[in-house]
Amino acid sequence: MAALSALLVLVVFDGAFSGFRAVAGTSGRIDKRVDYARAMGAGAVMGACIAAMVGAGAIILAAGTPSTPAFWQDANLVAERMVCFFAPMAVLVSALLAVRAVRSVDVRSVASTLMFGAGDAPSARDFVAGTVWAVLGGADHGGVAVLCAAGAAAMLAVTPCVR
Amino acid sequence: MGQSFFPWSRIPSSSPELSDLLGAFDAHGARRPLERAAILATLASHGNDVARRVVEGLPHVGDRLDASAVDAQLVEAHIELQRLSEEFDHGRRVADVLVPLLRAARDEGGPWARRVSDVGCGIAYVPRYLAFHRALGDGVTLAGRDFNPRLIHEARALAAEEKLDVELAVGDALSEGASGVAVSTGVLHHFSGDALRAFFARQREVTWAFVHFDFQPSPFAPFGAWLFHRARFR
Repeated sequence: MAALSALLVLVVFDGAFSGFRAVAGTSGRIDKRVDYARAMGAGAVMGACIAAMVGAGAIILAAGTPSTPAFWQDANLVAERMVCFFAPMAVLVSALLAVRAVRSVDVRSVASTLMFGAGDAPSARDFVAGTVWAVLGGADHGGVAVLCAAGAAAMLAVTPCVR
Repeated sequence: MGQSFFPWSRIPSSSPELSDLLGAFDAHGARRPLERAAILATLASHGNDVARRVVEGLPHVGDRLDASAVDAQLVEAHIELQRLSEEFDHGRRVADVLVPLLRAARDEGGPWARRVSDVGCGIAYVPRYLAFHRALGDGVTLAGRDFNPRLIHEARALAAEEKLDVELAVGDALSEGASGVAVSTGVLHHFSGDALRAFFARQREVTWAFVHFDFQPSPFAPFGAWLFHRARFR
């Protein structure tokens, strides 16, 4: 359950930043805090809804499997692998955002370059790679793989939907 | 002409800027005709395939590019450019230079201390930033001038949204008599040779001081510009 809870936190975090990405560069206002807050809130809510739907799908599938404990074991293993892959990225992004609070253009530029310049990481490509890695290493149950794929596809749609 | 392996080397430094070709206006805001074939030929002659592909994708009627579509692109580009200004904390850096400058002007007396004009202001990020943060205190008129009516229209709308007291109009900031302090961002590199010398000569006549910000040419500039474009633009 710890891995699934951690994954939920990551999904909401990712949703919030997907919302930010959706509106960044689209407004010429000086004060964009309201724009960003709205977009990040919408993204976080979308992430939570996606997590809820995937969770509901898991409950339904688990109820229909011959061995419910085995299903949840599978799901937990995949969640652990996803947390292993995405948590370091979330920590890195958070650390670089904290660094950007330093009022130095040089420090902010380096942080931006590290955060966004390395092939625009984290990106859709990283997202797919992480999901595939988690599923291939842990999902014996086909339903878990399908839920992961559906959840990942939905998360990739957050940015265009918020935009 | 073969393409460079490195993406940041694919825009030849000799090529005119695409925004200059698409946004050529006179001082009254009248646009020079957007002749598609001529623009494409100019870009092709300089080997600027990147810009040529952008122009080929723009809507056109016959040989004339759709001015509204071009202006919409220019507005979008300027809003994205504002991200670059925000990334570099440009507004604060301009204020850091202007505050002591205006103090010195006030010590000299006269009307010089009461007006700051942004030359080629685009969507007027700098005067709007200075107005929003009241960075120069009260009693200073913040103005912006640009030849492009669409950009001035966008700048006015943005200023109105945040209730900012900025004087924005189509025209030449240096043709309005005493202009106080002139500032510009990313404008100087659009001039060269005699045009640049004439620009500075006019400034000496009508301004008390001028402060211009632009990218420093260096071997790293193309790579840096490309990286930030990839990192921060759409």
